[in-house]
Amino acid sequence: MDFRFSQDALDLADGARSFLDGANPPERLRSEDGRDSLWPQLAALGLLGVLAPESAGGLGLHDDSFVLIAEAAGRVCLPEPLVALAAISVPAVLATYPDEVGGLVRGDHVSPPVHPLAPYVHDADKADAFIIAGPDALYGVPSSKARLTPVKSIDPNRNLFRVEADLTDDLKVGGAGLCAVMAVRGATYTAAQLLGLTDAMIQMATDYAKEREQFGQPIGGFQAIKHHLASAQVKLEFARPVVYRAAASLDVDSIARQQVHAAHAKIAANEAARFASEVAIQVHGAMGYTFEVDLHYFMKRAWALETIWGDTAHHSMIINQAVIDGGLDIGPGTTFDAA
Amino acid sequence: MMDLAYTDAHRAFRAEVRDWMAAHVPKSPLKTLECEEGFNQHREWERVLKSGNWGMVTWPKEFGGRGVDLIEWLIFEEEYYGADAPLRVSQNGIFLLGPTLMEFGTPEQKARFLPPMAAGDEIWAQGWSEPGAGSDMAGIRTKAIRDGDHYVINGQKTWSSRAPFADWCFGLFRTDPESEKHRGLSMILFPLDSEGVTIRPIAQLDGNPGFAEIFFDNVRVPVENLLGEEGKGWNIAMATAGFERGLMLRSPARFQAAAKRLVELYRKKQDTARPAARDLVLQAWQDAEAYALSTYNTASRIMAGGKIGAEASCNKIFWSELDRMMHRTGLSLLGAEAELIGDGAEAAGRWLDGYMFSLAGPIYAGTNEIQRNIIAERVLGLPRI
Repeated sequence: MDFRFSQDALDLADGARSFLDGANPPERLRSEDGRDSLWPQLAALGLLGVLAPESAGGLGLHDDSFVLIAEAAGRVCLPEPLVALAAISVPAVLATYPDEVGGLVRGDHVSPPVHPLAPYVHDADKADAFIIAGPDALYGVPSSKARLTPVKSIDPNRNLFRVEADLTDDLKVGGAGLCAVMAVRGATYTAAQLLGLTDAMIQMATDYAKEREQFGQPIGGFQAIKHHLASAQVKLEFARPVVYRAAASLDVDSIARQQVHAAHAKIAANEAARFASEVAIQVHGAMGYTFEVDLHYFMKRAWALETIWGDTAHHSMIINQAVIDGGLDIGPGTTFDAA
Repeated sequence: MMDLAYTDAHRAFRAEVRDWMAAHVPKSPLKTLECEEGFNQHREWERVLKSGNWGMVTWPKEFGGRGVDLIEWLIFEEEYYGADAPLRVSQNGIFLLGPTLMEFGTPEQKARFLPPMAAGDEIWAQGWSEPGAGSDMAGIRTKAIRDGDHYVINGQKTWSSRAPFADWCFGLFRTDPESEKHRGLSMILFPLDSEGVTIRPIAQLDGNPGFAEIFFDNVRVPVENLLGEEGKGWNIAMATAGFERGLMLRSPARFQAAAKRLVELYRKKQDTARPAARDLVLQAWQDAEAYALSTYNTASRIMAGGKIGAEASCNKIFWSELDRMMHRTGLSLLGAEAELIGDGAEAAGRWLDGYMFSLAGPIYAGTNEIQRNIIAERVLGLPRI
């Protein structure tokens, strides 16, 4: 029993974080173009293949080595759908057409996931194929057979399309179990990105509170400001271990248990991000309500991620079914599988 | 990969605790430890614990402990609260002073004070606050002036928990009368039956004398009872406060047990519950789980040589606000029963007692406002006022 990240996982995440900090500064969000220009570097750094086997050019690591990278991607509000592809598509392809994983890892093929909980797909116009969760099976749909309808997100760095296709038997690649895995992965990794966004928004508001002076002193010296930000930090600190446990349990615990862990992770991260975004705009005052500061990019991404892969209502029903209806106990046998 | 499995040794330890608790936990609840009879019942329970060598499992064997690691401590706590075992009357000693003594005490002090503390033979009160020094603890005025081999204490402490019935007290005193703020303070241990000590119990919200004022009139304490260096009491107190806010004072099992009772109560009352109650019950379940996860993470870090820092303040805010929310929710499910106490209202009374106690949580061990200042200044780096 050791609930910590390995040194290798921490080092890998540090590398990813310093690359992302340098490659995706806020100016890139402001330019709102070149939304996929980092693909070659992300692939070259091996970040698309962290969860893919070494035989496919990947690193062959478990999710507890990717969750911090997803958090780092959230922290810089990365436009590229690195997390969706590396943490949802790669495992889905690995479970269905393992020979095809190499193309995804190299960045040659882009096959984003589509799920009833995540029906809008970023940069779908650049995809080669889609991995679509249907009502009772998983489908692999080449882009030629998909119908794309552009839709507009409040987040200017999300280039969204509604993706639809006729899910015929010849496109079936796997059973409903894989759709469930996809949903659990989607919730867990969206939660991880929300942690990063929360961290970034708290940091921005903190930096602003140190600079902005009123009544002859930085506003960050006032307790009203301090307490807002401290409350946001508490939400972040207690969402983190929940998300990390959800990632650690992927492919390890039973799918029913993974679903509860992922639901908890998404609810906690949703709450932390929503709370931090409202605190951050309040601390920025009128400036926060404008395009003059970069906060709005992070806040809008948080709004988007709060709803996809299951909103709080969806995941609360999962916990409700397990705990109230299903009698799932609280304590060591639930916190970690097997007491 | 992260290792999130209990070992065979963990399982065996859990089974051992579970069996022992099943055989020894009193079948009917003890009276509140905030009355003389209840206090003595709880002291007796500490002796029963000691007879099984369960007094303070994390302490080294030489001081009356079992020398178990923090994961095993969490397992012990899970089984302890799972068995609905009594509250620890000795918590000031075993969770706060004990670790402080181990870090700052002399070998003689450790040998003198730790074994009777673990055995329940000496129950400790704490003496931090004064009428003029609450959140601003550096405002302490009670003096302990050196006179030969003794300190002579004059002044007043307040909100001293356990003091009405405890045996010993540890606290912070001004040993340098010319000093100000956090300089010139020292940590001193003294028996509560010392000549010149007057204890005036204070009725808490539930009417019981859970804490007291302590008046000092030329109380002579031998210099051997100074803990750490003279004048360095502030640093020692901060270390003690770290233990208090940090890991030990409120183990996750306590809140998991309350969350479990809340779920059970909700199942019985859901037909009459307001719609929002279900959300709150689920939130309580999740937050108790989150607190457990966070504690396992902190325990793992400490076992690997890490320290608990200002994030201890996050813990204190989280558990105290969770505890209040859970008990408020429990009361809201009880309807008209919620106001009843005493005979015939045991089930409801437990939620009301818990709610009253939970209202103290955001105040003691450093108010949550002070904790938020600490997070803002030491974690986020905002300017100090």
